[in-house]
Amino acid sequence: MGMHKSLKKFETIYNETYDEMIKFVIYKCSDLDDINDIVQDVYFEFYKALENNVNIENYKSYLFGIAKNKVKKYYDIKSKTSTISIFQKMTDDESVIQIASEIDVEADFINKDNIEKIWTYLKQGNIVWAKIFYLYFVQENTLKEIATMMDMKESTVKSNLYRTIKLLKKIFGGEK
Amino acid sequence: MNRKSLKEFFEKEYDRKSNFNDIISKIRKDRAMNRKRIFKIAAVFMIGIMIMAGGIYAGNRVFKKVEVEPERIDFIQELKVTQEDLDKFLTKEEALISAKEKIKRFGLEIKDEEIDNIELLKNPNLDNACYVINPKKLTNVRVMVNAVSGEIESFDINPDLSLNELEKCTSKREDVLKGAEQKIRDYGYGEEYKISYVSSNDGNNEEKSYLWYITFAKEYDGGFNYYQSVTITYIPKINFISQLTFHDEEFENNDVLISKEEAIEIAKQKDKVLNKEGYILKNVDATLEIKRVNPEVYLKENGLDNGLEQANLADGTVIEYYNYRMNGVTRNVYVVELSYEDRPIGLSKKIYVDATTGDVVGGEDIFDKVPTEEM
Repeated sequence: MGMHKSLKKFETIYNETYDEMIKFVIYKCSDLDDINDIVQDVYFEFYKALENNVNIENYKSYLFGIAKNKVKKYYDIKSKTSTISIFQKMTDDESVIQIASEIDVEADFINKDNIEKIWTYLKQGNIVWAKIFYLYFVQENTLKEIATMMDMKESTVKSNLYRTIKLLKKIFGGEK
Repeated sequence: MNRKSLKEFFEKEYDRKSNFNDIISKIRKDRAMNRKRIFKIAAVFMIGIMIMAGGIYAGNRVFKKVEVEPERIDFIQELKVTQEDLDKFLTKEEALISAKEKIKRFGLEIKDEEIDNIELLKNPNLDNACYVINPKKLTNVRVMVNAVSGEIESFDINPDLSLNELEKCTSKREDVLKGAEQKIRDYGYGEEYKISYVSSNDGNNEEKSYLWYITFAKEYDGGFNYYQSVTITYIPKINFISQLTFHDEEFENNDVLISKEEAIEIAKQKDKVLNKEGYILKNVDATLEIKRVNPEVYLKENGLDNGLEQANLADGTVIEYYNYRMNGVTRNVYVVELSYEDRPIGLSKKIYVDATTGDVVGGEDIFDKVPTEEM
């Protein structure tokens, strides 16, 4: 396929899949500062496949297949981590804190003035908390959906989210 | 919590448009550096040595016109591996034997038990094919071998290091360049290959960089020929080459007889034909470079208004972008860059003007890109 043919198809698929790809890479990667680099690498490789006329029956499956490999390879080259845990292991006996539906109410202190600081803080800290924060508040996934995606118990997701908000509120919300 | 603000922040943090532009830059760089796996020079037809139709007379010398009419191909048909190909290509086994022998030059080894598979890739546009020897493990070497010559076109291999170990493989720029150059010389590439391009995995802070991307290209009268080059990914401290790509294209080192001003004027005149959209010209500049002749301008001039579609000409000819060879010869050309007030996505157009004959012999971004919703 020629450059321009490929580019047209590429742009269409890029726009159709970008949001989902960002979400996918965020919950797959182990360093949230790498997201943009990985996403660019994924689409770049996908574009090359288009240009080289690789026989692709399902573009979305193929694209996310690249993403899976890319995340793995990225951390292989960075850390020889065929064994690295994509997610930090959570213990089953973590205490479950009932927080029900107050999470959003308690997160009122998060606003456009402090979100950058909050995200930087989360990225540098517990990556699981950062991912759950992103999936819950930005992607608006339910606790159950997040639990499925991250291979955790729903209660574990819930307790992590609670702890995150509690901590953030202490740091950024002036809570004593 | 104001979810709108939150979403706006993350849209900016993982900005769709910015990422897209970066990907396009990578694609363009990839093309410019000719980092594709498959290379080969194909015929570009030259007409006789006497003044003929379209030829030009420059000073006291007569020059052949650089023909840019591309060879038409049946892309889909050529993608298939035919008996004719098999007669012409090395067998998998022969390619492997060749690769095993030639990789020794780089201090590497291909072991049978480490090979996952060997695949044959054809590229009709560039009229070439190569065997890719894929390893089972990333720390084993992957090699691409020309399917006809058996020469190694590229290889890559990951170091057996942990993240912490790898991140410590930093060094001062001067030491990196010195180490990389020595490595290239040790591989047998001579002094004619000079450092022409350097970047690293952390462009904002070279002191933290542990992957260095360095191109050594042959120099002609101060200009680098990236079609005759060695590009490596170098890891300092451990003095390790993680990736190497070798290009050795035929170069017609044609005389530079056209001035920059003349080249600009030729390109501007040509753009009056090409600029069917009527974009308002903002700026024009030109640099002397070594480029591969390509059919971009020819196709637009001959009926293909949109590089993404096909054009049906009055005589029944159907023009489709990918049904042409794209592997012209490399020559000294002026790359005339024309930027416009109102072209989508701010793209400039580059027109190649042959430095000897003044012919327009190709270009970049001649066709508009398709704007996305955001752009």
